[in-house]
Amino acid sequence: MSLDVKDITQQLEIRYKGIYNLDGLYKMMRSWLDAQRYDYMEKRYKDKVGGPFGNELEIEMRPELKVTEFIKFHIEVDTHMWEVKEFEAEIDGQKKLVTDGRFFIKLRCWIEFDYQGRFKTDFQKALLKFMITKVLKRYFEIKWYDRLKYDLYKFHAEIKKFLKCETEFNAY
Amino acid sequence: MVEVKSLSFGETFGYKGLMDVKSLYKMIDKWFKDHGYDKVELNNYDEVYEDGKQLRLKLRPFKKISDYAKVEI
Repeated sequence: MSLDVKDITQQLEIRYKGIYNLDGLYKMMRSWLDAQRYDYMEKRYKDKVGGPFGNELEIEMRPELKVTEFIKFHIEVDTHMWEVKEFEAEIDGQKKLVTDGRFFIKLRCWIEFDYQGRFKTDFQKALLKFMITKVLKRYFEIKWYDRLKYDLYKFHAEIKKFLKCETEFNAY
Repeated sequence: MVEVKSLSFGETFGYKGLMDVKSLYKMIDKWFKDHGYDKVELNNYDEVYEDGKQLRLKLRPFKKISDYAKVEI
Protein backbone atom coordinates (compact mmCIF):
# COMPACT_ATOMS: atom_id res chain seq x y z
CA MET A 1 0.00 0.00 0.00
CA SER A 2 1.19 3.50 -0.76
CA LEU A 3 2.04 6.27 1.67
CA ASP A 4 0.16 9.55 1.35
CA VAL A 5 1.40 12.93 2.56
CA LYS A 6 -1.49 15.34 2.75
CA ASP A 7 -0.31 18.34 4.78
CA ILE A 8 1.55 20.06 1.95
CA THR A 9 -0.55 23.19 1.90
CA GLN A 10 -3.90 24.33 3.18
CA GLN A 11 -7.00 24.22 1.03
CA LEU A 12 -7.31 27.19 -1.31
CA GLU A 13 -10.71 28.56 -2.09
CA ILE A 14 -12.02 30.87 -4.79
CA ARG A 15 -15.54 32.18 -4.50
CA TYR A 16 -17.12 34.18 -7.27
CA LYS A 17 -20.44 35.83 -7.92
CA GLY A 18 -21.36 37.49 -11.18
CA ILE A 19 -21.08 36.90 -14.89
CA TYR A 20 -18.44 34.48 -16.15
CA ASN A 21 -17.71 32.13 -19.03
CA LEU A 22 -18.41 28.62 -17.75
CA ASP A 23 -17.39 26.84 -20.93
CA GLY A 24 -14.17 28.82 -21.14
CA LEU A 25 -13.37 28.23 -17.46
CA TYR A 26 -13.76 24.48 -17.81
CA LYS A 27 -11.68 24.41 -21.00
CA MET A 28 -8.97 26.57 -19.42
CA MET A 29 -8.71 24.28 -16.38
CA ARG A 30 -8.55 21.20 -18.58
CA SER A 31 -5.97 22.64 -20.92
CA TRP A 32 -3.77 23.91 -18.06
CA LEU A 33 -3.74 20.46 -16.49
CA ASP A 34 -3.03 18.86 -19.87
CA ALA A 35 -0.20 21.32 -20.51
CA GLN A 36 1.37 20.39 -17.17
CA ARG A 37 1.03 16.70 -18.20
CA TYR A 38 -1.45 15.79 -15.50
CA ASP A 39 -3.66 12.78 -16.19
CA TYR A 40 -7.12 14.22 -16.05
CA MET A 41 -9.77 12.35 -14.13
CA GLU A 42 -13.24 13.46 -13.27
CA LYS A 43 -14.76 11.92 -10.18
CA ARG A 44 -18.13 13.60 -10.50
CA TYR A 45 -20.06 15.73 -12.98
CA LYS A 46 -23.47 16.52 -11.63
CA ASP A 47 -25.88 18.87 -13.33
CA LYS A 48 -29.09 19.44 -11.46
CA VAL A 49 -31.62 21.00 -13.78
CA GLY A 50 -34.81 22.82 -12.97
CA GLY A 51 -34.23 24.92 -9.88
CA PRO A 52 -36.21 28.18 -9.71
CA PHE A 53 -33.05 30.29 -9.96
CA GLY A 54 -31.12 28.11 -12.41
CA ASN A 55 -29.10 24.91 -12.57
CA GLU A 56 -26.79 23.55 -9.94
CA LEU A 57 -23.54 22.13 -11.17
CA GLU A 58 -20.94 20.08 -9.33
CA ILE A 59 -17.64 19.05 -10.90
CA GLU A 60 -14.96 17.15 -9.01
CA MET A 61 -11.66 16.81 -10.83
CA ARG A 62 -8.89 14.50 -9.67
CA PRO A 63 -5.85 15.07 -11.89
CA GLU A 64 -2.69 13.17 -11.06
CA LEU A 65 0.86 13.22 -12.31
CA LYS A 66 3.38 10.39 -12.12
CA VAL A 67 6.56 12.35 -11.45
CA THR A 68 8.86 9.38 -10.94
CA GLU A 69 8.39 5.63 -10.52
CA PHE A 70 7.96 6.30 -6.84
CA ILE A 71 6.13 9.64 -6.53
CA LYS A 72 2.72 10.70 -7.75
CA PHE A 73 1.23 14.19 -7.43
CA HIS A 74 -2.48 14.58 -6.81
CA ILE A 75 -4.54 17.73 -7.20
CA GLU A 76 -8.13 17.83 -6.05
CA VAL A 77 -10.46 20.41 -7.58
CA ASP A 78 -13.98 20.66 -6.23
CA THR A 79 -16.29 23.09 -7.95
CA HIS A 80 -19.86 23.82 -7.01
CA MET A 81 -21.95 26.25 -8.98
CA TRP A 82 -25.35 27.60 -8.12
CA GLU A 83 -27.96 29.59 -10.06
CA VAL A 84 -26.28 28.75 -13.37
CA LYS A 85 -28.11 30.69 -16.07
CA GLU A 86 -26.69 30.88 -19.54
CA PHE A 87 -27.59 33.69 -21.89
CA GLU A 88 -26.27 35.44 -24.97
CA ALA A 89 -24.51 38.74 -24.53
CA GLU A 90 -22.78 41.09 -26.91
CA ILE A 91 -19.12 41.46 -25.95
CA ASP A 92 -16.87 43.61 -28.17
CA GLY A 93 -19.47 43.51 -30.95
CA GLN A 94 -19.67 39.71 -30.92
CA LYS A 95 -22.46 37.57 -29.53
CA LYS A 96 -21.14 35.22 -26.86
CA LEU A 97 -22.67 32.73 -24.45
CA VAL A 98 -22.05 33.79 -20.87
CA THR A 99 -23.16 32.46 -17.51
CA ASP A 100 -24.54 34.23 -14.50
CA GLY A 101 -24.41 32.73 -11.03
CA ARG A 102 -22.16 32.05 -8.09
CA PHE A 103 -19.65 29.32 -7.42
CA PHE A 104 -16.72 28.16 -5.36
CA ILE A 105 -13.61 26.28 -6.40
CA LYS A 106 -11.66 24.41 -3.75
CA LEU A 107 -8.11 23.31 -4.47
CA ARG A 108 -6.09 20.78 -2.52
CA CYS A 109 -3.01 18.72 -3.24
CA TRP A 110 -1.20 15.71 -1.83
CA ILE A 111 1.64 13.39 -2.69
CA GLU A 112 1.48 9.63 -2.95
CA PHE A 113 4.71 7.73 -2.34
CA ASP A 114 5.26 4.19 -3.57
CA TYR A 115 2.14 4.18 -5.72
CA GLN A 116 3.28 0.94 -7.34
CA GLY A 117 3.16 -0.81 -3.96
CA ARG A 118 6.70 -2.10 -3.95
CA PHE A 119 7.03 -1.83 -0.18
CA LYS A 120 4.90 -4.79 0.87
CA THR A 121 5.74 -6.10 4.33
CA ASP A 122 5.03 -4.23 7.57
CA PHE A 123 8.74 -3.68 8.12
CA GLN A 124 9.19 -2.23 4.64
CA LYS A 125 6.21 0.08 5.13
CA ALA A 126 7.51 1.26 8.50
CA LEU A 127 10.92 1.86 6.96
CA LEU A 128 9.37 3.81 4.08
CA LYS A 129 7.42 6.00 6.49
CA PHE A 130 10.50 6.59 8.63
CA MET A 131 12.61 7.54 5.62
CA ILE A 132 10.03 9.91 4.17
CA THR A 133 8.83 11.62 7.33
CA LYS A 134 12.13 11.71 9.26
CA VAL A 135 15.38 11.00 7.40
CA LEU A 136 14.64 12.46 3.97
CA LYS A 137 11.98 14.94 5.11
CA ARG A 138 13.89 18.07 4.08
CA TYR A 139 14.91 16.58 0.73
CA PHE A 140 11.31 15.76 -0.17
CA GLU A 141 10.05 19.09 1.14
CA ILE A 142 12.44 21.08 -0.99
CA LYS A 143 12.42 18.94 -4.09
CA TRP A 144 8.85 17.68 -4.36
CA TYR A 145 6.45 19.25 -1.86
CA ASP A 146 7.41 22.75 -2.99
CA ARG A 147 7.06 21.83 -6.64
CA LEU A 148 3.53 20.55 -6.14
CA LYS A 149 2.63 23.51 -3.97
CA TYR A 150 3.84 25.98 -6.58
CA ASP A 151 1.99 24.01 -9.27
CA LEU A 152 -1.17 24.45 -7.24
CA TYR A 153 -0.56 28.17 -6.80
CA LYS A 154 0.08 28.58 -10.52
CA PHE A 155 -3.20 26.83 -11.23
CA HIS A 156 -4.92 29.02 -8.64
CA ALA A 157 -3.48 32.14 -10.30
CA GLU A 158 -4.53 30.95 -13.76
CA ILE A 159 -8.13 30.53 -12.60
CA LYS A 160 -8.12 34.01 -11.07
CA LYS A 161 -6.59 35.41 -14.24
CA PHE A 162 -9.35 33.86 -16.33
CA LEU A 163 -12.00 35.29 -14.02
CA LYS A 164 -10.28 38.69 -14.31
CA CYS A 165 -9.85 38.91 -10.55
CA GLU A 166 -7.88 41.83 -9.18
CA THR A 167 -5.67 39.35 -7.33
CA GLU A 168 -4.43 37.42 -10.36
CA PHE A 169 -0.78 38.11 -9.60
CA ASN A 170 1.38 35.29 -8.27
CA ALA A 171 4.89 36.05 -7.04
CA TYR A 172 5.74 32.42 -6.28
CA MET B 1 -0.05 19.87 21.60
CA VAL B 2 0.48 23.01 19.57
CA GLU B 3 1.09 26.18 21.51
CA VAL B 4 0.14 29.46 19.87
CA LYS B 5 1.31 32.82 21.10
CA SER B 6 -0.33 35.89 19.60
CA LEU B 7 1.95 38.87 19.37
CA SER B 8 -0.48 41.33 17.84
CA PHE B 9 -4.25 41.53 17.97
CA GLY B 10 -6.48 42.72 15.12
CA GLU B 11 -4.44 45.59 13.73
CA THR B 12 -6.60 47.31 11.12
CA PHE B 13 -5.98 49.75 8.34
CA GLY B 14 -8.79 51.58 6.59
CA TYR B 15 -8.82 53.53 3.36
CA LYS B 16 -11.50 55.05 1.18
CA GLY B 17 -10.85 56.54 -2.23
CA LEU B 18 -9.09 55.79 -5.47
CA MET B 19 -6.75 52.84 -5.44
CA ASP B 20 -5.08 50.27 -7.64
CA VAL B 21 -6.09 46.91 -6.16
CA LYS B 22 -3.92 44.91 -8.56
CA SER B 23 -0.77 46.78 -7.56
CA LEU B 24 -1.67 46.57 -3.88
CA TYR B 25 -2.08 42.80 -4.08
CA LYS B 26 1.10 42.50 -6.12
CA MET B 27 3.02 44.48 -3.53
CA ILE B 28 1.68 42.36 -0.64
CA ASP B 29 2.41 39.07 -2.44
CA LYS B 30 5.88 40.19 -3.42
CA TRP B 31 6.68 41.51 0.05
CA PHE B 32 5.87 38.16 1.63
CA LYS B 33 7.92 36.31 -0.96
CA ASP B 34 10.90 38.62 -0.52
CA HIS B 35 10.77 38.14 3.24
CA GLY B 36 10.79 34.34 2.96
CA TYR B 37 7.16 33.64 3.77
CA ASP B 38 5.28 30.72 2.28
CA LYS B 39 2.08 31.67 0.53
CA VAL B 40 -1.27 30.60 1.95
CA GLU B 41 -4.32 32.16 0.41
CA LEU B 42 -7.21 30.62 2.24
CA ASN B 43 -10.06 32.47 0.65
CA ASN B 44 -10.63 34.67 -2.35
CA TYR B 45 -14.17 35.94 -2.71
CA ASP B 46 -15.08 38.07 -5.73
CA GLU B 47 -18.52 39.55 -6.20
CA VAL B 48 -19.02 41.33 -9.51
CA TYR B 49 -21.77 43.90 -9.85
CA GLU B 50 -22.74 46.24 -12.65
CA ASP B 51 -21.18 49.21 -10.89
CA GLY B 52 -18.14 47.56 -9.35
CA LYS B 53 -16.68 44.66 -7.44
CA GLN B 54 -16.53 43.51 -3.88
CA LEU B 55 -13.45 41.55 -2.90
CA ARG B 56 -12.66 39.59 0.26
CA LEU B 57 -9.32 37.96 0.73
CA LYS B 58 -7.84 35.86 3.53
CA LEU B 59 -4.08 35.48 3.47
CA ARG B 60 -2.18 33.48 6.08
CA PRO B 61 1.49 33.55 5.01
CA PHE B 62 3.87 31.75 7.34
CA LYS B 63 7.58 31.20 7.83
CA LYS B 64 9.23 28.21 9.48
CA ILE B 65 11.91 29.45 11.83
CA SER B 66 12.97 26.04 13.08
CA ASP B 67 11.67 22.45 13.18
CA TYR B 68 9.55 23.45 16.18
CA ALA B 69 8.33 26.96 15.52
CA LYS B 70 6.74 28.98 12.74
CA VAL B 71 5.46 32.52 12.49
CA GLU B 72 2.21 33.37 10.76
CA ILE B 73 0.74 36.69 9.72
